[in-house]
Amino acid sequence: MADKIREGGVMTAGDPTVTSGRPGSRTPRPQTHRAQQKAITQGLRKFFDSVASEPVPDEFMALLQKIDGKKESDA
Amino acid sequence: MNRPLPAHEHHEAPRPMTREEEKEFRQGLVEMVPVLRAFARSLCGKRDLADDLAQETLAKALQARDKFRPGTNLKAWLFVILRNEFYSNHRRAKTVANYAAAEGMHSESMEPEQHASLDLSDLMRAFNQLPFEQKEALILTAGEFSYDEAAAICGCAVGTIKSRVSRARKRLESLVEGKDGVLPSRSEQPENPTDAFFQFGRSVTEKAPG
Repeated sequence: MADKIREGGVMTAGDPTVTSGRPGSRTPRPQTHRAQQKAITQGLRKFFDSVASEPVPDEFMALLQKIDGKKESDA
Repeated sequence: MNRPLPAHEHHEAPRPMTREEEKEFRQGLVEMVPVLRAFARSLCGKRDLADDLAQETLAKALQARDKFRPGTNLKAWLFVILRNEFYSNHRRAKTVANYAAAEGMHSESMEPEQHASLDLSDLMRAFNQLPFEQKEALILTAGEFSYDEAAAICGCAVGTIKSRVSRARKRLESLVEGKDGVLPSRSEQPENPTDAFFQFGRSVTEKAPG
């Protein structure tokens, strides 16, 4: 469903440059355009996932444990 | 993703968490560390700055845990805190020099890889050229959240998210295809950091840190 939204007509809402700017020069063939847009989304997703799959640095666990400890003593 | 979003306005007075809820909340925080780091890295570019931001987010989340309503979307709640921290840090620093100087998207772990003739490091350097509000709109909707959820996180209308995503994708497309100027080299600073600051300032007024 999200893809439909991305590739549908709503994309151009509120963006005057899409319809008025540089006629011709920015209208690649729809298929190429879609493939490129898809590649962009996949690339960003790939970047996000690559960071999210890095081992979590020790300081994060240390921080959560420290806060845990503080909380216990609060209680 | 299928959990309801926490409301921005709390109509119920916060109540302290029960022991069980607290345990679940803490477990949730641990599980969310990887995506918080990824979101922070997307916004900041630099690894060390991003990890600081993610840690501040965790500390803030723990302080504010009684405002979290158990059963609602913890990830969305944390992302709201993260972006508020990000924007208020920027404001405090009164400069984006630190962030702006980030040498493209730092990603030691990223291998050069082709995606339908799209080089990932080119893409991320182009991505880093975008205004913050467009970066976050793109990243949030690239897989983690729906447009509605992204709008709730950013405190703006769904249409605003859609148009930011649309503009960002067009811009990225032109940049990676070399139609719209040349990508900066990894060590080059953005042409106009002041622009980035104003972009950033605008986002702050749109959604005051809470």
